[in-house]
Amino acid sequence: MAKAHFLEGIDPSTPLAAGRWGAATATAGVTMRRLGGLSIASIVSAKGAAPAVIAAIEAAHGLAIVDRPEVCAGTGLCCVGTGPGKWLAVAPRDDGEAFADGLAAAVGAAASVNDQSDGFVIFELAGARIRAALAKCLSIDLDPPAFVPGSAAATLLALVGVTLWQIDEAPVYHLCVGRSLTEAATRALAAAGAEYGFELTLD
Amino acid sequence: MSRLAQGGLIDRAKPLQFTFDGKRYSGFAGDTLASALIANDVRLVARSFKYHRPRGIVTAGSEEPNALVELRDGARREPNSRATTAELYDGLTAESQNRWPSLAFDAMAVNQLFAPFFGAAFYYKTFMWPKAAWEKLYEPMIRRAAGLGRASELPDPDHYDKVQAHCDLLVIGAGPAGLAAALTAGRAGARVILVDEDFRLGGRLNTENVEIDGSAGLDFVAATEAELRALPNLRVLTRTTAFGVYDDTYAALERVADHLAEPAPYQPRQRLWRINARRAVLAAGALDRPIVFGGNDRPGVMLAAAMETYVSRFAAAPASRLAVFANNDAAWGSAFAAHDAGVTVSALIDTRADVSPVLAAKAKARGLRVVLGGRICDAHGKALTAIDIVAGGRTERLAVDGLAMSGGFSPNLQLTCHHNGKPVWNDDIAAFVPGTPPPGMSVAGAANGSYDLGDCLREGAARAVGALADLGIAATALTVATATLNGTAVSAFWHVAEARTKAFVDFQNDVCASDIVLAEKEGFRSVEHLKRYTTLGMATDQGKLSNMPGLAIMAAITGKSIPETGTTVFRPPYTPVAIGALAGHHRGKDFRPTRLTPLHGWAREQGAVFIEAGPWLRAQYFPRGAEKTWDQAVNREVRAVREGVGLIDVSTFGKIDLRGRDVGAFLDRVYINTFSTLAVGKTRYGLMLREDGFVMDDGTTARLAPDRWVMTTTTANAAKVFQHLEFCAQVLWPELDVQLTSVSEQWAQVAIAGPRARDVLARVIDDPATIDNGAFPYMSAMETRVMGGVRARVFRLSFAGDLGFEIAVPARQGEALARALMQAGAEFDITPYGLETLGVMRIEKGHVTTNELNGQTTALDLGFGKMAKKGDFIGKVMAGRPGLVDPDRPRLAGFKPVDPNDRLRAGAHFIAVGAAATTENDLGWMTSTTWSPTFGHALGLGFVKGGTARIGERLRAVDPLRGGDVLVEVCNPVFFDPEGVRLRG
Repeated sequence: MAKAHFLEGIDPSTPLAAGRWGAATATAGVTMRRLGGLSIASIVSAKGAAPAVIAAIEAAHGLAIVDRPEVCAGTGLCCVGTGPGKWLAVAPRDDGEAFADGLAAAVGAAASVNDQSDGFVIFELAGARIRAALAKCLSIDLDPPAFVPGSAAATLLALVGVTLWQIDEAPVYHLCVGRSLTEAATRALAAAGAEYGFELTLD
Repeated sequence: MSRLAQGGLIDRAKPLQFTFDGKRYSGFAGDTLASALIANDVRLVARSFKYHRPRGIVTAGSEEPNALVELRDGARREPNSRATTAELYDGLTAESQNRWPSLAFDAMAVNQLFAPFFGAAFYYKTFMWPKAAWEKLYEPMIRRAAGLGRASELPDPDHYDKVQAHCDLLVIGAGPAGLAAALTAGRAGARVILVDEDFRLGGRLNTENVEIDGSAGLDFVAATEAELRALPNLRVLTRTTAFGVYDDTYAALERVADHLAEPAPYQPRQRLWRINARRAVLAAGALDRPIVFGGNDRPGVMLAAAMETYVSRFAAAPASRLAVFANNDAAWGSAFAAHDAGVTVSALIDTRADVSPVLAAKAKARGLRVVLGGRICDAHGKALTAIDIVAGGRTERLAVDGLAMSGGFSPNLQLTCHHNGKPVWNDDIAAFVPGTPPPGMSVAGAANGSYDLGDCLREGAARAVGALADLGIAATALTVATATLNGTAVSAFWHVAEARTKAFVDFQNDVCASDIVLAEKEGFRSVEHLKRYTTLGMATDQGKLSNMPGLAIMAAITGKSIPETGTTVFRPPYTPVAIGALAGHHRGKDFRPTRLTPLHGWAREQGAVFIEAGPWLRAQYFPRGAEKTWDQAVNREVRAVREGVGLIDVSTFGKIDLRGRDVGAFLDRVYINTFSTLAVGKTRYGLMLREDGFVMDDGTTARLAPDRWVMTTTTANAAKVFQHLEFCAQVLWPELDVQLTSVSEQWAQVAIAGPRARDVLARVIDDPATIDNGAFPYMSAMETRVMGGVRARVFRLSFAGDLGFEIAVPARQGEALARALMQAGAEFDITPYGLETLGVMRIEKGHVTTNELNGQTTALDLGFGKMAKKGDFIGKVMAGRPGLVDPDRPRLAGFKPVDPNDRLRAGAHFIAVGAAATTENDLGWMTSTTWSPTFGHALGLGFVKGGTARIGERLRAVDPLRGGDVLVEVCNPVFFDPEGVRLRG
């Protein structure tokens, strides 16, 4: 019997356990690692205030961000463009409230800032077959030059709203998913990666 | 054995065993089931749909109308599989279908005796009466008699993928035109995807003995394939059928593992490709088509191109003594190929009086008997034994066991029709050619009506150059100096009028020439009517073989030309597609994403029974101890809240953060009531309408600071309301300073309700003094800290209608909050409750929810008429339409049974006592009902003409569907605490 349906034995309300799933390839063709210890905040510019937000972030954090679907990463902060005048700010620190408060103070009336550290979960996606697996879940073009390191997209992954950005040429991607939908997204990627060997890491 | 001693693209070193109808046979790698059956002399492979006539293999491709089998067994059994495309693998099992007790002796073949009565529209005419007999007698009988194969009723054990691909150029078909297009574009560096239905690239080059630039056609294929596969910018997909053209997207089905006994572990069986192609070249070739004559469906009669394929590609001779019947040059090539492979060709009958001297010479050189200006009027034998040839006024019977027929080719232009393109008639080739293809598509080679090999190669290359030029990519066309010239002449011929026996037009649906005559006689002359009246072209092959002859016969009867008579239009899919492939990952529990609340783990620990609420899994109730039924748990939970305190997870509500100077003005426009006057630290209930005046959603919005607000929406409408607000902010009123952020995922929210709610919260909140009734009255809101410093928002609200609070904390603190509340409330016997209990209490309190906010009700209907402000708001004008303000419109009211032992049912309709239960007397309907443990009897909410003006009146609640008829009393919809004393306590 084909073993394609390992997910059928796991109820969607039961978290998929960390470890190897799918084909027993020497190395997992697709890896998915949940990143812990991150602070996440959403930034929404006031009408016409995107340039002011960009200036404020640069002044406060020394990071030049752009109002495009791109990720700009500096030390201690990266900002992902999620819509006109909208960003997702991510930092490697686990005091989300203070992180958001700091950003809010920096941008002042130019934008509203909300702590989303509890609202989103970020995964690192990698592996030799990650593009092939993502092609089963996403409708956007991930091949260069359409999508290159630094590119970002707010899109749907197997009916789940996500934000995706590319980290490097390998390629490695970061995927930001709403907390209530992390299992649904994990299952979709596990199914997509099963034929290449799928490895889930939960930090 | 009919396997030829040599030749063919089969691997004789790899024999494969298979069974058909339980009998063991063997074939070779490279065979299809059809070619292996032919090689094993199996000629009878199926029974026809209606008459159960014996049928054989007609084609060598996906257009096959006859050789449909049940492939595989057990859970993988798939009916109506075409033997002509099923690749042979070791251990393959197949069964014939639609026959009883056996293929050789089919009792239902008795249908043929009744054939004179079974013509077009037989069912419509015959089974009209008595009406009652249809469901019980006629339909089951017809279904038994006129069936296709049996589907496996077991769960599908296989997995299917859906994949997205993006390219500059999609090339559909890998025959000479497609190969030339792909090579041209691939060499230019464009992103190219080449798909072909077959498991070998090459198309006609796999069959025809031709030369390209002095090399064998097969060598050209091999060299081209090697180059294509080495290009990093080009993807080759074999076993892949492009079956539909949608908006900027092509759909293709790849049969990843259908050529294997079963997929490798975790390998999908099939992959649905959604290809976003900037340009496409359709090079799908052309199909040979049948001629309509008596007995043209007998096993042994097949298309000439198919016969050549079996002989040349599969080294399987479909006959030992063959005749060829055609109206075109290509069929002569097939006859020569058969002869050259050692098959006896007894006669070559052409309807044309003259053919080119080149052809005649080639026939003469082979010593073939040629009959020009001849026809075959009838074929005989259960499997073909003889044919009657009519020529020069004489009829001659000739003993043959195989007949290759060819009525000329029809270009495979199906995909050009998917955006409503109408094919155009071309008299020179007696075929329809593409009209206006979908945007971005061009057509090359035989699919375009260009049958000459050199033309195919040149056209394919030229189309690729043109397509890439549109994209700004320079390409150099593949050049071909010489290619074999084969004759392409054809002279239209469709139907042998002298036929004495049944002459079939549509093999799969058993439609005969006589059916078309009948349809015309009865007035069904339009092609669309003809199709529906006779079922011509409506089988799973979509009339690939039958549409043209059917159209031509109708044209001949009516004395019109073919283009005057009509055209054939095709819709996706080109070939049948398994539903599983369309679903991909989204089946079973993964049909749609499941959303889990931040308190899911806690609820599970508490023994919750979960229920699907939209995408969410929510706690339905929490059974305790010896409780055997859900209502025992619910009654206990309701009493616990009303008498003590309970808690429920309400994290699923939509939560929207609104900031900016103009939020108050913005909310005044989206809600029917005023929000700009709301004080900081207060929350207010609001109702939102759609533009058309009907209610969209309700909820509460709190003002946390002068320019910071937080809105709560219903669970069901969370996404819709956010989208609506974004639309309002971005499109309707861009001048307003409003920033919207969904914070639904960030906050876990727990509601506690009941007389002891404050006592419990006081032990969890960091500063208990702030929730005194004086400091924090009903409808208050604040940002605060709980559990020793955890950021929280507390709202004094209650959907349950009791003293209540909603506490929001960051999602990761949700379970800790629930545990802290459980611990704090232990001495009050705090009770977790679920959706069922919430449902009971909201009916007791007269709160409306999805049952009442169903998209068909207005604020007035719901009793919120007085809430609407004087100023403007979305939906105001349309809500004032006469029909919506009609005092006779049913309005919200409460209902209770006069006999407290009666139960109520949602869906029951209200009828005046003494009136007949008819639509004219309908006064309204019940929307929500419950048994109330608080009151000890049933309660209901519903809409009734006159609404609360009828309070005290008695009505019947009639439920004819389930046989209920209960006397009810109209009440205030707020049954529990109508003065709100408990809310404010």
